Amino acid sequence: MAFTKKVTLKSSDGELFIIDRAVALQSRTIQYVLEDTNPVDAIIPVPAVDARTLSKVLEYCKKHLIDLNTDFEDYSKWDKDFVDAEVWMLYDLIMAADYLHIPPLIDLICDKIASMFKGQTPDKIREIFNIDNDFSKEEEEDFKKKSGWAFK
Amino acid sequence: MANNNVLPDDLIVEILLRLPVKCLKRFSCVCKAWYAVTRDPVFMAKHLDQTDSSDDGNASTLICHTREYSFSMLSNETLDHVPTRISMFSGLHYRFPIVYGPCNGILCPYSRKGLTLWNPATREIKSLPRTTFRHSKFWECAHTFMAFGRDSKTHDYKVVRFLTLPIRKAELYTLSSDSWRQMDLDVPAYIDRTNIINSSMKGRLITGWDLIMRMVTL
Repeated sequence: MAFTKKVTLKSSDGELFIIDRAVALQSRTIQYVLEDTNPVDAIIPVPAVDARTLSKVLEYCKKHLIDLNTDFEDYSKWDKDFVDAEVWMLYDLIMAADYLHIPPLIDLICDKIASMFKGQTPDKIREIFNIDNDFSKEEEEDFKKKSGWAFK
Repeated sequence: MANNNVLPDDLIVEILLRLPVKCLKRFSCVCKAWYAVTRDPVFMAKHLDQTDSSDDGNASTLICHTREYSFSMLSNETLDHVPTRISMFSGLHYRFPIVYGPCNGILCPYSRKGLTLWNPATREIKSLPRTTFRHSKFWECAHTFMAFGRDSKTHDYKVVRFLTLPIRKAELYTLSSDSWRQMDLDVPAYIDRTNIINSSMKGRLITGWDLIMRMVTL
């Protein structure tokens, strides 16, 4: 075999993760690194992701390795439990999935965040995502007057 | 990480695309950037595509209460009252309003007072300008045929109106110009109200709207 079967990833806080190459290939970012450099036994740094988040992402990648014995139902149940997490964890996860470029994981977390958003007020959204309200008081009042139905 | 959660713009767009219209309307006041996203035509088109293709209950059913001429919208298992300007449906010829569409979620209700474009999901209403010809007699209404749709080439919303009796006339409204113009067309003597015409070509069903658009874009 020309390719190494194992790949080592190094998180931002220095922890090493030795994983199957097939698992790592689900990240397009790592796929590009492997294709470009084909590092044998080299360590691939993942400077944007800490160990706690990386282990969670890898858990997802392992589960989603193409496995003919697992049917769709199993995945959707597992996925649902996987994203049943606090907002900060989801935030870290989506940033990691974005950096590592794992589209199905990004989709999964976007779905989850959107479902959490549904019943929220704009104030709460600003608080969660640390967004400054750049509308004036008058503009906001005017908005609520015109689209009051959307706030009920 | 708790206090510097700033999501990149493309992820924010991905999340907003998954929200129903009511939430988008509410969250468009989160900040100016979000407002801009929700008003962006590219975003709107994508949101519409996503809603069309999803089967997770994003579809809405509009319920018409004929006694009080009011509407409710059933979506995501919640029933919302959709207030309308009552004048929109007053003076109707029939007890039940004549509503053309929907086309991309937009309806085109028709009453004696004129035509309206109405998006029940965003509560936006736009009255169309006066048509170039109007009914002088009640029975003429029965000889008026209309179609409302979107021109797939120009992405423009159009209303086509034909009068077959006592004289044959045709007129076209385009949203981009917000005006009516009379058309120089050979209006057929009879137009099938079922709105579906069986084309002999390749055994394909084409709708009245398709056929009209072919005539209009000539």
